[in-house]
Amino acid sequence: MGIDRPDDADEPSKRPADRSNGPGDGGESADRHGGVRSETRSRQEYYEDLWVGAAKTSRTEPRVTADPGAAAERAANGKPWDEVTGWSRRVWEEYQRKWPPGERGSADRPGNEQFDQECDQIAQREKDKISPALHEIESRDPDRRLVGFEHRLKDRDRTKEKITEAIEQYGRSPKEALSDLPDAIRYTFEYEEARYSQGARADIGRLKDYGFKMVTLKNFWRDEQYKGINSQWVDPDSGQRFEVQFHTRISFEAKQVTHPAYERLRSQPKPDELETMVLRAFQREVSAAIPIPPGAADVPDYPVRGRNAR
Amino acid sequence: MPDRVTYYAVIDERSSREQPAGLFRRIYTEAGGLRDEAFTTNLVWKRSWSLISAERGDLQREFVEIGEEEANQVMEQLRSRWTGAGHS
Repeated sequence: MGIDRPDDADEPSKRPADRSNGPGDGGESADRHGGVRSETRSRQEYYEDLWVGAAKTSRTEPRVTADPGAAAERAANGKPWDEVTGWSRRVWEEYQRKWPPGERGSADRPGNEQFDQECDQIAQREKDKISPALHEIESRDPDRRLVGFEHRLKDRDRTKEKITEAIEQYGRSPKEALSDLPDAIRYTFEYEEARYSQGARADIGRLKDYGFKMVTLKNFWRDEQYKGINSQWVDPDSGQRFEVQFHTRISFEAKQVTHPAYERLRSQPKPDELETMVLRAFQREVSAAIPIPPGAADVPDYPVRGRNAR
Repeated sequence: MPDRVTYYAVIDERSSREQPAGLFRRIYTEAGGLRDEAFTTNLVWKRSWSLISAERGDLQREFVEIGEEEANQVMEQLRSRWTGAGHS
């Protein structure tokens, strides 16, 4: 049985203020999805059970000791980061006991030959110009590196999902949707914490010097769900957009740790309301443990984010 | 306590604060859950992960929190745009 309830969306709404308190809402929802879950605890009680359960497990398990020779990188809450990742694994196991992974797919996606041709062209531009440029920029500073380079091209299924979203939610044509896609190609620079702000600013300058035009830069270091700086660029010659992310080792690792939660939030059947809240809480808790490098929060957005904007 | 709803005007580089690309709402349910929905070109609300993606670093769109009255105005604007109403 799907979680996407037809009464949520299939009736044209007269007013945006229409409250979605139909049969799919609230406390009933857990019971309605497969008839196996019946959540009677309040949100707060549920969180407490989840976190406390994971903490109890942590006291009974032998602690994995970090390499004593390695620098003791500490999370924002003062605990060693390795302890945070251990905690997050236990919470994730608890989560999976509550919501076992079943048959999950992705959203419906359009597929056609033209789309594949466009993706091929993006891959060609990446190979011919953009990746060589990023490698050249990387070579100018030995104290940081590109990470996750093997994942620089966005998965085509995910690309189709985003195009479908742009068509359905924003009335874009398929061509506009593909052309506007900011992250079909993505790179990540990883810095030591102490050199992060200086290093990111220097690399932003190098990208500009190379002739790429910055479209957007968003600083997420003060945000709850994610930490880092993400930027969107365009190659003026081809019009190809690409994304560059700026991370520390821990913020990049946190991104990997929380990726299954993010994947679940986007998957079909869609998570119910409580599961959504729990997944976001998991992302928030992990992100809260990421140390903010000195000066990182001061790197300005481009363009400046409006008031109340996300 | 009834559900609480927060509305967002969605802005991308082909749109503006005055002419948003879309409309979004986040519903905090009475039972403590959360559901995100986008107002779609079919003129129905549909579950969406767009805001969750934006919170996770997606750069494509900006979500600006707006009040219910403005949300009603944006909805009418989108309805006209997507159905062609008001255009000759």
